[in-house]
Amino acid sequence: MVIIDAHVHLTRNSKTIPFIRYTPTELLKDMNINGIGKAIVCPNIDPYSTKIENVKRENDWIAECIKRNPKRLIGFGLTTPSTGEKMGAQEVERCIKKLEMKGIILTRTKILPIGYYVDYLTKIFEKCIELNVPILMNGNRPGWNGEDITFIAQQFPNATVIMGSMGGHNWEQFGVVEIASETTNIIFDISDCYFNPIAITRAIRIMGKKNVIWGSREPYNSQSASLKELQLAKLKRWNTPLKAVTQEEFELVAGKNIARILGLK
Amino acid sequence: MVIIDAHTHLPSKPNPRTFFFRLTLEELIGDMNENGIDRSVTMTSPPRDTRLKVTQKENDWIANCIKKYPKRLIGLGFTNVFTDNPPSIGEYWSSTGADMGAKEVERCIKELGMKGIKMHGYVCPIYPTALTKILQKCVELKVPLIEIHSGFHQITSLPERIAFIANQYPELTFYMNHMGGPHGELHAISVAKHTPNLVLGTSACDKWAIRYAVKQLGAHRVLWASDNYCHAVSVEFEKLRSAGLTKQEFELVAGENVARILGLST
Repeated sequence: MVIIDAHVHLTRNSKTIPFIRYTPTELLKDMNINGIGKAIVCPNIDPYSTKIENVKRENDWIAECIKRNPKRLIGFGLTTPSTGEKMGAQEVERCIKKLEMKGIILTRTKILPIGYYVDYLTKIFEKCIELNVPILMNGNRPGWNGEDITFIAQQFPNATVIMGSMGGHNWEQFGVVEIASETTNIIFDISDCYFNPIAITRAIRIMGKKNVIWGSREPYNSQSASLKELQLAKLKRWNTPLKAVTQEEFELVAGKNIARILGLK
Repeated sequence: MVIIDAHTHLPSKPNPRTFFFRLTLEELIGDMNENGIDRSVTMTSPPRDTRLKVTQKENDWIANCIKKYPKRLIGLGFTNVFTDNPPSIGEYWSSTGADMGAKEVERCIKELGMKGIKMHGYVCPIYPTALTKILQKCVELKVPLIEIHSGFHQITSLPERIAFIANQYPELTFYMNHMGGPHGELHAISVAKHTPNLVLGTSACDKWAIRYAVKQLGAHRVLWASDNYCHAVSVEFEKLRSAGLTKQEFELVAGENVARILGLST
């Protein structure tokens, strides 16, 4: 089976966290060590400087990275409602059609909660629906957490929304999965599972085995530790009446689901 | 090198809620053996019942566990601003409760041989005025380590609050586990820069934060911790291993720091 890391940020530099740097070379080295076949890579942009020229520059760089490693890397282009609805949707089209990206990551914007931007998201979501590509939204900040993402997903039921970072952190992740499961167009990304393997098992049981994908959120979190956590969910030792994750479920979550969603061979 | 897990929980009756590991004493030792952990700092999990006798029973249990494995386990005593009855609105903490908390500190350190004190914002009012008697007792007894849970999920666990308290007691070493994380790590590292008597623990924080904390504060101020009971020790250790530290930094974070702070022989 091919393991696909469904959530990686490539970055040359970050103003928010100055030392964060994760180049394709560093990613490929980690992938080889950890036995990862492919990785979905997104730009990493400071949410406080989401000017359209910055967004375009980072998307172009990601496209270059993919061109150099077409068998290992899959691109998600970045867009944001803070550049304006029209420009945001145009960048979706450019990423998918011109840069050959397979999906979109909608980045958080400054300090305003995502609910504030609902009116500015229509064109972006319509474009993603038209082009049949999923939208990844990181759910790890107040105002951009699991409940907010679920709300957005409900406004656009024909879109495929990937809820990043399990929609929150630690204990929140337990409640979020229940909320997300009530919405049929959400795919649950278990990157940033801060709690323990039981949280992963529970997410698979509640969301359904075909609606959960594994990602690491490198370089913010550890690919090897994150994969280990998914592997631990296969063990029967934990304090839970939930059935441990089966090999079939592991394979779906670790790669087959995202391959199906993106139409990868 | 010595590997010391700076934060594990060992409640006498593990929480029956389905998302905690069932961690008995033997399971904790088994996890340590499986993962090459030499010693673990352990404590009960915060009792929701804030009556003194409930916490005393838990601290006694931890002391007994340490007696069984004196070379593997190090105890932290749990304290609180205790209540005789559940508090009502406007009586969130009382002077009597604080006195009881200070006495429990004394009992934990002098009678039970604990090496430090733990407080948790879920059940304990982490307010400077509420904790005065408890922390004054810690100063008097020269308690080596005061651990306070941190996180962005509640006001009483915010890194800024813990740093504010730590700044008022420069004689004590405060231990902010979880580094304000997840997602409060930048705050924690930032306030720790201005609070020299504050060390940060790694459990449940992002991987990048471990390296960033080491670069910003120095490796001597970061403690590796698993929070075994809530988190898987092998995953937390892998996170540390993959954080990109130098060998010297790794050794300090993985065990030497906590050994130095608690005055353990390694």
